[in-house]
Amino acid sequence: MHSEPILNWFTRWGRAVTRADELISLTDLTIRVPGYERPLVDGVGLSIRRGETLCVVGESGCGKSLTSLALIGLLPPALQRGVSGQLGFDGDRIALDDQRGLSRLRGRNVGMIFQEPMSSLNPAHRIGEQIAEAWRRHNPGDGQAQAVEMLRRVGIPAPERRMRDYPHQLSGGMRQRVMIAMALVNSPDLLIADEPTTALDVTIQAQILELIGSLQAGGEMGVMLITHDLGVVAEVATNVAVMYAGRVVESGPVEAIFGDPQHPYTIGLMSSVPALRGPRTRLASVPGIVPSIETMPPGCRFATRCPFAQPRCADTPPSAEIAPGHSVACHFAPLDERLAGAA
Amino acid sequence: MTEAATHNATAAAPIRKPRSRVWGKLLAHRSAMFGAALVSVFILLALAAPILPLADPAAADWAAIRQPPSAAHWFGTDELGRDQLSRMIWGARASLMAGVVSVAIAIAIGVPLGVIAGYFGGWTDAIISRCTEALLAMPFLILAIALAAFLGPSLTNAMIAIGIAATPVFIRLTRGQAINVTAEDYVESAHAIGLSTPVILRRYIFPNVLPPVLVQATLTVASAIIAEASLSFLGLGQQPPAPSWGAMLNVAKGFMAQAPWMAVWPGIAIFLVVLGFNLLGDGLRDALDPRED
Repeated sequence: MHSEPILNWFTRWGRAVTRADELISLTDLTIRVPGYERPLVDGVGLSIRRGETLCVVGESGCGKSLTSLALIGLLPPALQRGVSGQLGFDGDRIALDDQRGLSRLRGRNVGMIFQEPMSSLNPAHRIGEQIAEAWRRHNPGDGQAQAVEMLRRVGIPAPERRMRDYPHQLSGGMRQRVMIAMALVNSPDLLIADEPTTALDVTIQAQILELIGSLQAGGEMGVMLITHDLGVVAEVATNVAVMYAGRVVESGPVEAIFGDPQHPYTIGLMSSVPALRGPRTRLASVPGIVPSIETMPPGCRFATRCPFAQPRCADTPPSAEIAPGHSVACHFAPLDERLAGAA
Repeated sequence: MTEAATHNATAAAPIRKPRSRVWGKLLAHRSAMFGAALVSVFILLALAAPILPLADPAAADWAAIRQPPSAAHWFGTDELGRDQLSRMIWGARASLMAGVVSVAIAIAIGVPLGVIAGYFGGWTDAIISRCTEALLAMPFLILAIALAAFLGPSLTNAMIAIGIAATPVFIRLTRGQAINVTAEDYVESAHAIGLSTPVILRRYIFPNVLPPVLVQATLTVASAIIAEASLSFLGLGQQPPAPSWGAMLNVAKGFMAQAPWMAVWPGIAIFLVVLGFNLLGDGLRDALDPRED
């Protein structure tokens, strides 16, 4: 960073102010697997404020889903044993290996929806009953009225009658609406949506994203949306965290990530999206593949594929804040104009 | 469900309701329907035994010992002059009850243990599974005979013995099914809405492990009926003078040359009822198999 001390102070002050309405802050999430030197997820930090949508992007296997599962203590037991890190939730601090503490958040403070609406509902029970069950877990009363109300809010017609349907009587989009109703019936502070539209067709995708947006707009809810669809990110995100091989390589406001990507991986991702306008050119791609956990390089994990890699990249790059809220984990950030143009 | 609601559901989602699909497949399954008919006939006869115009199954008639089938005694009489038709129908009660009650015992013990083993895995699973395998290593009938001999001869004890002997199969089956169901997305989403483990076991795992258990139960009723007949044949089941097919066969074996009808009728009854349950079980398995469409 080349900024004056005074500017440095200002940005810090700015952040301190915004911290007050910070809903969750995940710090230093690390997931280790016994027998492997390098962790699967390495020092991930994220923060979401009320009313904001954080999109976590990255390719398959980069640790997006593990991060979200660690957040609510739902990792498979073998991975749960290797978890460390801290979760700040609405002022409380919870250690990420404290499953009991995390389980208290589930359903009440944090709602979650999954990728596969077709298989995420219990086929043995009516949908109304399943929503009511989520309500009863955390509240008095039978939850029937709340279930009807939630079905109405997620846009299911004739909710009183639909209450009595079994999951197999609904289409994929309808089931995802029911999942959202289940996740939100207790008015959670945070909704985690793990690729909620991947299994749906494009028109339904748009409807579901719009629905999540509209449910969030009224309240104080933060949304963590995990996706690998940059089109979705551009549409709904307030902030973006780009993950690569178990680390957050770049994070910041959506405008900064799309308009001024700084990490070579982010730049590669952005240029691999086909443009609708302009001359047709060969679609850019990031060369190579993600190294496996055994062959993961020390230091910067992107170094094996990075066009700018230098000997220095064998050291782990610190996450540097190059603009307010915009952090990049690269030794060369902020990028030289010349280099950025070359990329 | 009302007709309007059904109509509405089909309009919104062109997926046929699995429940009615299963019923449809079962109803269209000829051998299953034949099996169901056989089983129903025996169940109806057993239920109606007290009101049918039958001779007292325990009343000896010294004037009509070992009579061949006749107008007075359609199925003949046994060595004490008791009416064989009446004894066969009353005997159906013991056999069917033994079949159903022992399977109910096996399910009541086996399914919860299987669900627990499959869901929790690890040490819990290892302990339950090793015990199950130890029991499975013993042949079903030998185990049932050993237990019945240990408990003492009576129909109740025979049912308990058969039930316990049939339990390991249900533990095994349920465990495997529970492992599958535990990995389902809807169980993960149940965790995500914060449901407690007992609720997840009861409302998410249990109902979804049931279909194969149902098939196994139907087939095991057939084995249990044979086991009860075997135990009664050995004198470990139904005690005289109360009628039971196995006990009837036991007596009949001494008169095979002089009065073969004494052995034929209970033999046919056992054959038909076991065939009925097996056909029904096979049909249920086909109907519940999602791949057979």
